[in-house]
Amino acid sequence: MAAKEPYKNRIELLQGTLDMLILTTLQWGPQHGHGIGQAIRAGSGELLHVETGSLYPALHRLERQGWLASEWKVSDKNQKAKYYRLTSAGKKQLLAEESKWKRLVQAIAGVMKPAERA
Amino acid sequence: MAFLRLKFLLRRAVRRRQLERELDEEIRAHLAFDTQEGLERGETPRTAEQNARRALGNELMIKEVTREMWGWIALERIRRDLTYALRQLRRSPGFAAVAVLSLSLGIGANTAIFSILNALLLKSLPVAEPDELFVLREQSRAPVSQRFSYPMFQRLRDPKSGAKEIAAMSHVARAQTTLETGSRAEVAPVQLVSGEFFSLLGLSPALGRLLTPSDNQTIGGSAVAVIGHGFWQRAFAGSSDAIGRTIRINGSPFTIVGVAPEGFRGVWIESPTDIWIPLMMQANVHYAQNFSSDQSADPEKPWVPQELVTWLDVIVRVNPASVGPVRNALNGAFLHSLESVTGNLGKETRRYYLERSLVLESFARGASNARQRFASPLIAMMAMVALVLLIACANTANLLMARAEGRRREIAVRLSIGASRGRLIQQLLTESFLLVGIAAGLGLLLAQWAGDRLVRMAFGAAVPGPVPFLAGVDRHVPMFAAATSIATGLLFGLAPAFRATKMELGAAMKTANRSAPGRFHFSAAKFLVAAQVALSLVVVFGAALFARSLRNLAKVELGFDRQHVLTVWINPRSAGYNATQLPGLYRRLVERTEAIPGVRSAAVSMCGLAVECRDNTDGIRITGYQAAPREQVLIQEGSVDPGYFSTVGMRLLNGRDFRSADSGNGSAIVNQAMVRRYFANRSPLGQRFGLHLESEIVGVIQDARVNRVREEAVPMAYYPLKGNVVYAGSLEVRSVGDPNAIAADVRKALHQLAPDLPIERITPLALQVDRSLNPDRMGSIVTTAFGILALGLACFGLYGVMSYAVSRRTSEIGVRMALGARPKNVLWSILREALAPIACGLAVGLFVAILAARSIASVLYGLQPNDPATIAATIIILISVAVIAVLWPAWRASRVSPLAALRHE
Repeated sequence: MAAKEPYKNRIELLQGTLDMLILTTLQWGPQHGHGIGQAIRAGSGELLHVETGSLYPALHRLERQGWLASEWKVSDKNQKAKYYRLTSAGKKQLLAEESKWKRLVQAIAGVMKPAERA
Repeated sequence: MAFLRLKFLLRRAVRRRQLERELDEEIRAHLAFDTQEGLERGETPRTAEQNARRALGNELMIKEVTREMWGWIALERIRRDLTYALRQLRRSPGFAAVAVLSLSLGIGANTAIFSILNALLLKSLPVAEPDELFVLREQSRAPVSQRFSYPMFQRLRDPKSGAKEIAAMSHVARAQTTLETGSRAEVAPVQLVSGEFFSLLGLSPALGRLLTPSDNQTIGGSAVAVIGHGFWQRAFAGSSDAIGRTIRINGSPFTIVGVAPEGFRGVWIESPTDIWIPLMMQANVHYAQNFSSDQSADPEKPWVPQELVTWLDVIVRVNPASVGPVRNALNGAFLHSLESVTGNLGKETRRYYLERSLVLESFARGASNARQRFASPLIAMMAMVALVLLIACANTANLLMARAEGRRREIAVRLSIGASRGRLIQQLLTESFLLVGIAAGLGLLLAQWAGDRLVRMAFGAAVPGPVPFLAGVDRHVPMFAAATSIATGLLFGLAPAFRATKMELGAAMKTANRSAPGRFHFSAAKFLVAAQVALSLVVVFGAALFARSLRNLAKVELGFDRQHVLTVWINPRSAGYNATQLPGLYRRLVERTEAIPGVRSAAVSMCGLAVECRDNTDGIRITGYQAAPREQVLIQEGSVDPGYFSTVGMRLLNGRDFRSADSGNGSAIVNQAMVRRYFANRSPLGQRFGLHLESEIVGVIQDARVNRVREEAVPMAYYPLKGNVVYAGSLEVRSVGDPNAIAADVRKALHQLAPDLPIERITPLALQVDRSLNPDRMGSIVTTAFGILALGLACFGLYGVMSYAVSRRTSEIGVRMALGARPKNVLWSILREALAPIACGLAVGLFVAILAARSIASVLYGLQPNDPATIAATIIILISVAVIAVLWPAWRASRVSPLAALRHE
């Protein structure tokens, strides 16, 4: 239950990583907004919580970029919902974001190492 | 991706509301999922829904932020690119200024010339379906009048002739108009039209009604007028009570019945029309111009019923698909009626009439005398300004490449942190288009400023009044400017952008800015320099040809004295003088003028000088001259007072001047051209000529270029004014000193003498001659300006490239100097590097220039398009400019101190 989660246990999303997380989530198949939010939360061990106020603008922006496409379908719970899926441009973008992310992690790790040693 | 984006934008524009609904639905679904999960955890429906809402947060805010995304990306990206580009430009204001200035001059010049070209050559009349309009022209082996009589028009109008819609019209005449309200007379362009004119054009009135066939039934019967929209605004301030008001046209009262629609300025491109009246009113307004008449016709009587006065242009509306059949039908009717009309004419004359056929020429763009005359110079100028723009493009491309060299590291960094090449090119192009955008804005302003001025210069100044036609703006001009700008932006922006983003990242990152390996840039720059030299050589050569042609024209021996003559342009016809009053009027004019101090002599003449005003007669017989079969014996005729020749400074070579006893056509004075052509090896004095050999030659006058400066004297005969009915066009006044000094006195005296005689203008002859050269002058000034601009740009380009080369080689030069090279050697080696592209450019440019100059041969006067002196001068100019541009960087290189150069590394 989202509201009961203690705030301090969550990690603020790093700027620009939300797009990558959404794209990653969608590579397993189409999903609606709510499902994407849940998947990210579950995948992060309840640590990352995507605000609805960030999630939907991001989805619409990515669709606008041509990285996502959408269609209305009825869910297994018999609820009509807008399902997003990855386009081929989106797949390319995901690869780019991933490699960028890896470099960033390496770079940060490199910077952090001396501190660890000390 | 672009396609998806476009689809999205379209969807957004068309179905914004549906998107809103979908967003509502999406949020509702989100809430439903959350509530569902709550229920599955065992919460009550109420709590589950409340929790879901709380988790969602501010729904309105979420929707708002999401909505922003719909249009955000593209706009935001463009905004960011623009801000970035602006910042880049601000960082190098010199570069920005040079690029913007040269581009805006280029775009402005192109747009200005195009707007004139468009108005004259391309623009369709603002009427319904202009492509269906055709004008009837006659084809014949002999030159024919190309005009029709009113009875002929009636027969062509007959439904049996096959034309569905057909109308006739006169030329546009300048008439004295007075509003009954007592305002002073104004010269207004008036056109006489048949009742079908407006309905054929498919026009509907702005106010009141337009002319109809019922307005054109009886001679002198319907004094009604339709006024133009502009005239309505000027004279009546657009008030609706203009309808029913009376307007006097050359003395005759007309009732205004309607106002033509806004934007319709008549069908004569260079003579925007203010007033239209029925053809039946020809005699009432003393319309008498652009006509031909057979000797058996009487032009002083109303023209409408006369078969042998031809004065009308006939226009038809035909579906372009059925032009052929309609032409055949019209032609049949035309020849059939010619046959009966010419039944009682002489055999020769009859043949002259019958050897004709009709053709239909497109009238979509209206009528124009200027079109043919200005088409080739305008196209030549258009080509020249296009070259100037190309030079500006080459220059800007060069500057951009040099800048890109300086930005290699920046670009390399951005590429390596993941910016895509396409994105970077987009960014660089944004910068180019920002430059073009600013330049296009300035250019349009420049074009607007220059367009009307150029038109006025070329057409306007010879006849005062409003701009004869608007070079102005219709949808084509902005479209042209936009297309030119986009092409420009791509032309100079694309290559540098691609080049700049294509690099080996590692290498670029490692090398320092200044010693970037710019070999490719350098050879591209050399190529651009060669192109600039070539292009500017073409432009400079064109400018030099125009300038020399103008100089030749200004030096032409005219055969009259332009320094001491003042011309008073009078119009007794439009003032309503009748034939019996004319001799008295002319005598009083001359007497009164000669009484003014400072006036040596005065004389009245049918035509003024250096103005198109000719009266030709053909079928002339000459004693002792046997005309070849089909030869047209045609002479130009004039009527003048005794003393006219000495007044305008034309020398009498033989015989005598007119005396006051001479009257009618009995005695004539001919020019040298007439003697050369028809009296070879004979003494002309005492010989006779004329339709009936009625004129005896009493004198021979020196040849003079009375029509146009360009036109050599044609065979010409003068008759005495006395005893002929001649509505004179000019009073020539010979002054003792400066003719300008007596102009005011002359005007005052004539106004006192004959207040009702309209004086159109008073001009010194020198000024009149000068103004008649305005089109040539315009050509010369414009091309000279472009020539200088082109040279300046090429010079700048050369300088830039050589400076760059020198800075690139600074260390090398330092080494060489340290090893003992003398400054002189360095200077030479740098100069040599520049020499190759310059020589290449010169060679190519010269070739192109000589080829291109052929197309303007017809507008040149007194020199051939491959004039060797002009070619030599052009090459010398270009070489000197090039040397100046190269010398400074080369000299700087030779001053390099070896120590400084080595530290430089």
